[in-house]
Amino acid sequence: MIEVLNAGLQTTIQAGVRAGHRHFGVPGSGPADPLSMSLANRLVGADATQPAFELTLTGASFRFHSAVMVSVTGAEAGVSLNGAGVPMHATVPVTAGDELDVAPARHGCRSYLAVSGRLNVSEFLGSRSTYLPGGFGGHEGRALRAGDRIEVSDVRSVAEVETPRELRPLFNDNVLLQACPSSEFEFLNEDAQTILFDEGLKATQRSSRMGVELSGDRAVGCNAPEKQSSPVFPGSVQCPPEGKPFILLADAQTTGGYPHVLQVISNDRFQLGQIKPGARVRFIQRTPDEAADRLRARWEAYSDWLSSPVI
Amino acid sequence: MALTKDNISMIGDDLIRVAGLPRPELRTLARELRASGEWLEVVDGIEDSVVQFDPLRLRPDEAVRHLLSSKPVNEIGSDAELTEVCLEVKFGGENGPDFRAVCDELKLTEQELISAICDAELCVDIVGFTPGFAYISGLPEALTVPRLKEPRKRVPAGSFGIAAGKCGTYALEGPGGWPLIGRVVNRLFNPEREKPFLLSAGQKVRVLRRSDV
Repeated sequence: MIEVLNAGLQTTIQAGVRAGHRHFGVPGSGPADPLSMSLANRLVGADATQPAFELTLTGASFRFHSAVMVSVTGAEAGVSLNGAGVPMHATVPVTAGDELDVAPARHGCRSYLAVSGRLNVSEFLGSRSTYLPGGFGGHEGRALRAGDRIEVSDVRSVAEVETPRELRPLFNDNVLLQACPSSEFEFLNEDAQTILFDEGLKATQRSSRMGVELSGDRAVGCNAPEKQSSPVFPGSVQCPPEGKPFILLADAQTTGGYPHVLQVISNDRFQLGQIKPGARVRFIQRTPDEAADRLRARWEAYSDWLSSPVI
Repeated sequence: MALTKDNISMIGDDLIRVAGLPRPELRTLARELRASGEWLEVVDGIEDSVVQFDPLRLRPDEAVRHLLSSKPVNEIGSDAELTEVCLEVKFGGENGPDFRAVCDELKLTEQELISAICDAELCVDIVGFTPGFAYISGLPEALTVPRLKEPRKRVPAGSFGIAAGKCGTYALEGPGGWPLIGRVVNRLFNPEREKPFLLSAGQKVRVLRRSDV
């Protein structure tokens, strides 16, 4: 069993994407940074979609009531076991009574804690991922609180390994996102394109698993005609009338009426979960074909380490 | 009517938008694409649909070719899912805490409001906003009331609301800003069913009054 001592800003259980229900208004959820979560799970010998803890910005701390192997990946942060530093991106054995602390993120926004056993959390429509606005999945459909206890079953003994250095994503607070023009791209004025592609914008405090608001030095102007609600997805960049675009994340709503100007390419979507308030964000325009090339190149690099690709 | 290149556009490297088809054909196409099991998601917008595919399995041009080769849309009406769903609604009281206020706002008696809703030929525009929330159009224009000034933090599953000239049904409990005039007796959400949500875009709907007794 794992006891939450301090849940920090927001800690949820995430697992696989809740797939195939978007047409009923049910978002996919799952980790905001699926690459980091799959790397955490790899270190404890688990599939990419095994339920794990997603920590936000301030970190969190836990007490273990039984022996298990753990790993921490994602946002760069100090990790300590009973007060002594332990590495990220490595399998770490813990025993009953041990306390693990993940300090506030130095770079990036979300860390993942995986364990070599199955977290006993609830499934909803085929996924154990927490969707907070709907109150389903994970632990009682909500963010964890101090005092929560999560049962762990089927504990496996696994080899102690480390993520190969070249496969550890590095996060900093200057985020470059490759994106393709979307339905209303043509209505962005020239200055708006300068802001998005050259000057960059700053992530504001309006940031959650649903989306991240961006603010430039000037409003991002988009003169699209009024539009009817249209499907949106994680990675969609919408531009509301006040000129502050927002990027949708894992818990993105399924439809939206704001102009959809860019779509972050599938290769770069894991980075969305690591944009912290105050980070600089700039876009690079790509064609769908270039995007497909980049995705393939990356998964070739990971294919020896991860058993199945995660997007 | 077959899908042509003019109807589709790529969004990024894993999404294809389909537009420019009459709405009933768009809905039928979306249902057929979902039923094919070949696409990760097929999501209805009001005037478009977006199809998501696995970008590692298909390159953008391959996905477009695959979509264009999907079989032509069936004749409208041949689809069983287009048959009308009858929603049994208990109006007023604790089932519809805003029923009285909505009648007053519209200057209708309770019976007149119920009859206006039950006589209307309704159709689900889209399911979204929150999981399982169905926007249902087809009410007479006169039945237009604003949303609540203060949204409720908790609306019970099955709640039947009316706002901005539409009806709305809450399949799951959650926050909501629509004036609530009743409760649907049918189970709008049942995770045990193959299709867990009762309503989907394009579905025709008729409301039947269910009395408490």
